[in-house]
Amino acid sequence: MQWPLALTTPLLLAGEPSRGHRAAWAVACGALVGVIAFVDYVTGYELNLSILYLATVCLATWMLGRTAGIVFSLAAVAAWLVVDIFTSHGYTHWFYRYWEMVIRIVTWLGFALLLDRLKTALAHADERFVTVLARLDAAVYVADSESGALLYMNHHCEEAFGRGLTNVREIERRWHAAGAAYRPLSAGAGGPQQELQDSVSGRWYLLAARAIRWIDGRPVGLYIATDVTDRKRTEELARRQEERLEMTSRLTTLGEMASTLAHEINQPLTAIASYCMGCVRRLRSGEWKREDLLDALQKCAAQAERAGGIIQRVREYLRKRDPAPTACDVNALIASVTGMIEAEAARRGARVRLALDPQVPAILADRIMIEQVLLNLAKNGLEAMQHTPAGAREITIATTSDERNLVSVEVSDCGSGLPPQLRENLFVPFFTTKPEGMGMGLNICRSIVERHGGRLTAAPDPGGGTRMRFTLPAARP
Amino acid sequence: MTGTARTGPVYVVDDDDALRDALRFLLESAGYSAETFAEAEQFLAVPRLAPGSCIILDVRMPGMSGIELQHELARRGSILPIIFLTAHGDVPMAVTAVKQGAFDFIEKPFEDERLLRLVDEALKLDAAARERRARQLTAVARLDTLTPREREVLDCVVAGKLNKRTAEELGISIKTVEAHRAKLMQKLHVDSTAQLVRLVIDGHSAR
Repeated sequence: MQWPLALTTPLLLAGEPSRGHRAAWAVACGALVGVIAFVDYVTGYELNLSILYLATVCLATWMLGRTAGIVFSLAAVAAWLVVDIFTSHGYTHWFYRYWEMVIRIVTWLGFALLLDRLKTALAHADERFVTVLARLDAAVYVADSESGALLYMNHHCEEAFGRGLTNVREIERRWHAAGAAYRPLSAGAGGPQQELQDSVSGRWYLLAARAIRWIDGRPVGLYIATDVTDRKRTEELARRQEERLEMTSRLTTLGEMASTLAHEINQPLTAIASYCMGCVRRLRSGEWKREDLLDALQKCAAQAERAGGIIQRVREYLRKRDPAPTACDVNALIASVTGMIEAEAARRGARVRLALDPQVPAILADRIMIEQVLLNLAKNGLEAMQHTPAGAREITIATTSDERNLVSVEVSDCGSGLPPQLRENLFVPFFTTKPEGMGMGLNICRSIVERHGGRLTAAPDPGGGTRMRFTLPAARP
Repeated sequence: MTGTARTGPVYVVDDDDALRDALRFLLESAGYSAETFAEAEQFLAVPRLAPGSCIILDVRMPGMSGIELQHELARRGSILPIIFLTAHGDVPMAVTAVKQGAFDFIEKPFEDERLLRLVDEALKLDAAARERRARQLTAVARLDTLTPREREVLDCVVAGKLNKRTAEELGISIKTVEAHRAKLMQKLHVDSTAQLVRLVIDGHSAR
C-alpha cells in the first residue's frame, strides 16, 4: 500500500525556517559566493569554480525563497564579472565577456525560478494530503511494530487520544480498559476490523490495522480508527424500538390467543351441553330411540375430543416457549422495561418511581417472561389510578431480598385499592373488571411466576392503593 | 315428548357443523322441528319461510355475519323473531342487534332451559303477532262488505249512540236503524256490541 506523500517526504514537513535560520543561510550563501570569487581570483580561473555559483543560487532559493534566489543570482554574476575583469581572462572581443555574463544570469535566474515553482508545487501537494488526513473522520496513526513508538498521528487522532502520545501502548491500554477484547496486530498480517470502545471518551471505533514498511524500511503498523459511535447509537435505538414492538405484539398475541381459545372451546362445549340435555329430555319424556341417543352420545365424545385437541395445541404452543432460565440481574431487567412503562405512564399522567435495592442477588429466570409479568403488573397499576388525582398518580417498582434467598419485586400503585370481593377473584381466569379485558393477564402472570418457583400475591398498599408482589428464587452462585 | 303440537320449524343458522347438529338434536328433544343452515346465503335462498317460526343465528360467521343477515331479513319485510348466539366478547354486538329488533341473545355455552324458554317465547310472540295480523285482515275484509248506510249506522253504534239518536242524526226511522244494525252484525259475524267494537279496532289498526 502506497501511503501519503506526507509520510515519505519528512524534509518538507519541517516547514519554513525561523528568522535566525534565514539570516544564517543568507550569510552562508554570501560567504560561499565570496569564497568562490576569491579562489577564482587567486588561481586566475585555473580551478574554475564559477560553476559552483549555481549551488549557491539553488541553496538560497530553496531555503530563503525566490527573491533571495534572484538576489544571489545577481550577486554571483557581479562577483563573477569583477573576478573576470581583474584576472584579465582573455576574450577575442570584449562583447563575449558580456555575452557570457548574460548566459550565466539567465541560467541562474532560470534555475532559481524553476526551483521556486518546484518547491511551491511540492508544498501544495503535501498540504493536500495533510488536509485530507486532518479532515478524515478517522484517527490515523502509525507505530513501530517492535518498540510501539508512535511515528505519525493525524489531527483527528491527536484530538481523540490526546497530543503528545509517544507510544501506541497508551492507546491500546484504552481499548483494553473498555473491556472489549483487543487483538494486537500480529507481525506481517492485517487481521479483521475490530469494533472497540475508548474507555476515556466512551466513543466507539472501528479499528482497521495493517502491517506495512515505513519509509526507512522497518516494519510498522498502520492503524485507522473510524468513529462509529453515532452509527452504534442508531443501531441501539433501532434494536430497542424493535424490542418494544415485539413486547407489545407479544402481549397482544397472548390476549388474542386467550380470546380465540375461549371462542374455540366454547363451540364444542356448547355442542356437548346441547347433545347431553337433548338426551336427558328424551329419556325423561320416555319417548326415545336407542339409535338416536347412541348417535348423540358418540357425537358428544367427538366434540369432547375436539376440545381436547384445542387444549393440546395450546400446550404445544406453550411448550415451545418453555422458560429458558438464565442468571440475570433483576434490577437491570427492571431498568430495561422502565422506558416502556414510563411511556405508558406519561400517557396517563403518572410517574414511575424505582426503589431498587442494589444488593439483590441475581435471579434465575426467563428474562422475557419476567419482563412480561412486570409490564402487566405496571399496566394494571396505571389503569387502577384512573380516578386518582393527576398529581398523585405514581407507581413504585421496588426490589428487596431476604435471608431465605428470595428476591421480591413489588409494583405498588396509588389507586383506589382492591375491594375484598375483587381480591378473591383476582386470579380467576376470565374474571375482569375492565370493559375490554379478557381476565387473563394476572392469571398468566401468576402461572409464569409459579413456573419460576416464585409466588405472586396482592395486598393493599398502606398508601391506599394495591401492592402486587412476586418472589423469585435467587440463582445459586 | 313435550309440546308436540308446535307450529313452524326453528331455523338455525350457524357455521359450526357440530353446534348446528347439536342444536337440532336439542330442539327436536323438546318437540320442535329444526331446519339448519351452514351460512346466511343458504338461508336467504329459502323461498318462503314458514309462519310461526323463529331464527337462531350465530353472530360471528364467515361470509355474511349474523347482524348483516338480520338487516337483510328486515329489508325483505320478515318479522320472524331472531335469537342471537354470541361468544364471550360479542355482548356489545348482541345488544346492538337487540336494539335493532332482535328478539334476544344468548351467550355460549348456554343452559338448555334458557334457550328453549327463549325459543318458546319467540314462537309464542310470533304466533300472537300472526294471530293479531290475521284478525286484523279478517276485520278489514268484513268491514269492506258493508254498504255506506250500514257503515254510518256502525259508526254511530261504535260512538255509543242510542238507536233513537242515530235515527235522528241519519234522518231515518228507529225501525230502519234496528234493521241495519241487525244486518251489519250478521255481516260482521259478531254477536255483541263488545265484539263489534273490538273488530272495528282491529280493522282500524290494520290500516
